[in-house]
Amino acid sequence: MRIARIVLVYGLVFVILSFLPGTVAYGGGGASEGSYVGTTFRALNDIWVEVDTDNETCHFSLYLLDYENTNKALQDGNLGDTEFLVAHTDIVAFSGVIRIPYSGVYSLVLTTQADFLWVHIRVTAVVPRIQLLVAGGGLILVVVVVMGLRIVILRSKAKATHQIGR
Amino acid sequence: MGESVVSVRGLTKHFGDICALDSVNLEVKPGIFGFIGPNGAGKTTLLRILLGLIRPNNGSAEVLGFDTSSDSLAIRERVGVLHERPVFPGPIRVLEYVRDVVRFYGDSQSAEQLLKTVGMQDAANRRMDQLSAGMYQRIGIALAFAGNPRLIFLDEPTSNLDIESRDRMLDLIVEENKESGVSFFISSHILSELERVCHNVAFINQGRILEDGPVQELIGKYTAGRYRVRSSDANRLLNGIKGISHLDAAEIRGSTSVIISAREEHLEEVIADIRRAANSASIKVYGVEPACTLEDTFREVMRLGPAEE
Amino acid sequence: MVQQKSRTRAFLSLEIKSFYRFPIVECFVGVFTLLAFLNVLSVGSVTDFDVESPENLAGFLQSAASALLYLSVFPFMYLLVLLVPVLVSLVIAKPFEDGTIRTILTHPIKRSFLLLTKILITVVLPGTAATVALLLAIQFGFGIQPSVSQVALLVGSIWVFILSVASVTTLLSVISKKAATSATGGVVLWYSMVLLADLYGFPETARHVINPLSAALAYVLGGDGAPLLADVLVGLLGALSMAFVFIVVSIALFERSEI
Repeated sequence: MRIARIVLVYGLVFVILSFLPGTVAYGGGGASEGSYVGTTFRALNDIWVEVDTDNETCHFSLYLLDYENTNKALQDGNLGDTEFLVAHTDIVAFSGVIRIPYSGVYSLVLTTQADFLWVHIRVTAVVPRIQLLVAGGGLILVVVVVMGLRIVILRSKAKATHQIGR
Repeated sequence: MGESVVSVRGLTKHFGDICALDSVNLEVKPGIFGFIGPNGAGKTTLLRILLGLIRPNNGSAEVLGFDTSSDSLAIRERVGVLHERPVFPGPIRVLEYVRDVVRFYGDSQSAEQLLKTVGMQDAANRRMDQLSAGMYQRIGIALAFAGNPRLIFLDEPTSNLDIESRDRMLDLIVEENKESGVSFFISSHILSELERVCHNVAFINQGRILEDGPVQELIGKYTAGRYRVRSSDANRLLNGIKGISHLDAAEIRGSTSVIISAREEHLEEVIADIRRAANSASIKVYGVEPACTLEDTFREVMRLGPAEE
Repeated sequence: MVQQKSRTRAFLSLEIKSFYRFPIVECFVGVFTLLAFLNVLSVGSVTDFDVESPENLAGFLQSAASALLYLSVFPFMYLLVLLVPVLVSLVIAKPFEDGTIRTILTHPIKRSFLLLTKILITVVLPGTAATVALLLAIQFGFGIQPSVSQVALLVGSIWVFILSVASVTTLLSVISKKAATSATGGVVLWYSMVLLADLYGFPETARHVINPLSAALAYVLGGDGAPLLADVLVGLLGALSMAFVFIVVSIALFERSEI
């Protein structure tokens, strides 16, 4: 009984946490032709990303890299051999949700054909955080099912005892 | 009678300037023992020392042969206790609490049996803090029997109990003593109950034992030649009988009773004079009977005070 | 031996039912879990890099993990400083006030066992709630794995911190026998000691002994002025010794207490 209550509390807390809005992280920098600018961040689930530049006519490409590929890009000095999780090419601004496959460290890397471009990146977590919501909901479900089964078993036992008594 | 179940020698206990026990000596033999005294006389203090809850300033005490200062755990393994105004943790269910307490003792009746003993089996699933005062008291009594104790201390055991429960409680004490040989150390203000069940009693006042011994022996010793005259007006009767010859002493007891002292050989003469005096003052006399209860004994002992050593 | 085992189980059962009934333990669990996650769920700090400064990325993982640990554990400190004295007062001082200590000591229980068990529960429950909350936060809220040694150091510090705060309040509870006095005293005394320790010239080691969790957090976070691991360990050892002394004195006083 007590364990069930505690597990239920964990479930409820996870559900609450999954809906808590997060703060916005700001990144960016100066990008020029032939090079890139990147922002590394930690992500647990899908993120909302806004990218704009100081020159709205200049085009750029935006890539999402995982940590391994970010390292690779840094070692190579270019994005030639890297695998992108997401790629948006030839855009002037970006605003939208980027799906994150699993929690970890990711980088948003931006390249441009312009001479120089000042880039602003804003990243924030999307709520509800599906991972926590599923975990919390799962725990609550398990408790409800277990408690339900317990009640059914106790009732059938009581019924059996009653019948024997008669 | 065997060895003493409680043995107290020169026990003194001070609380600051207050002397709660003053060189108390007491031997309690197996059986049912009544410990009698007014409020603040030192009864509860002695009980707390016997359980090892407080330490005396001087003297020593033994319970069932174990020293209260050094072997308190051994004592608590072998005795049951009902404190005056017992306090139990509130939010626990009765049966759960009694079950846990039973597990403190190696050999004990089951929790269900204990509750049945005090007629509380129907309240097993109620919470302790939702019980009436009487039920609370009965739980305390049931717990005193946990662990099959050899000696049970009961501090005001029948307070909060209705008449029926009191009778049941007193019967239980006598029965347990007879059948299981359990000794009882009962502290109570209800002397009629103690008189009904106790083999021995001790009177204590202001931290000193005034008298102790077998109940009937003490009653005989202190109430011989004392009679209760029941009338319609004790005050006027007392005034009217002053000066009657062979009347050694007279005192008011309540609004209708006067206690008189007279030698047996003069008793009839004294009673006749009292009736005459009452008649002339238009006071009804309903009867004259020996004033030989434990309560009478207690009052007499209290009046005489401690014996000079 | 069997008898002692049965008594221990009976006493634990009574303690849990009397003092840790629903929803007390559940609240610990909920609050610690919320606190552990609260500051780590946001995207948090980012690091920018470009072709000229690739090294920015290198330190990110290490510093991010340390920062997350710090953010996760730091709020525990202020919760524990309030929670532990209140809890200790509730289970040790209050029974003196309401008389239940007399009832329980009427049964065959050693006073030292009773006090030690009560302290043990007041340390184990919040300690476990905090540890589980931290581990859950690392698993579900960090996204990166911190070093095991740092986690172990922080978990150890949490437990020692709880024990030291609990030991001070235990002593106050046994002396005052009043719940409000010992709870307030426990909180005020600890805060006074921390304020005193912050004064200029106060020995660093003494500061770590008074608040080993703060020292461990500073070590994990790193940076200028962070203590050395050896200093943190000395602080932990000192706090443990202090707690041991307080508990021994509390037991000695409790053995002589008039109930």
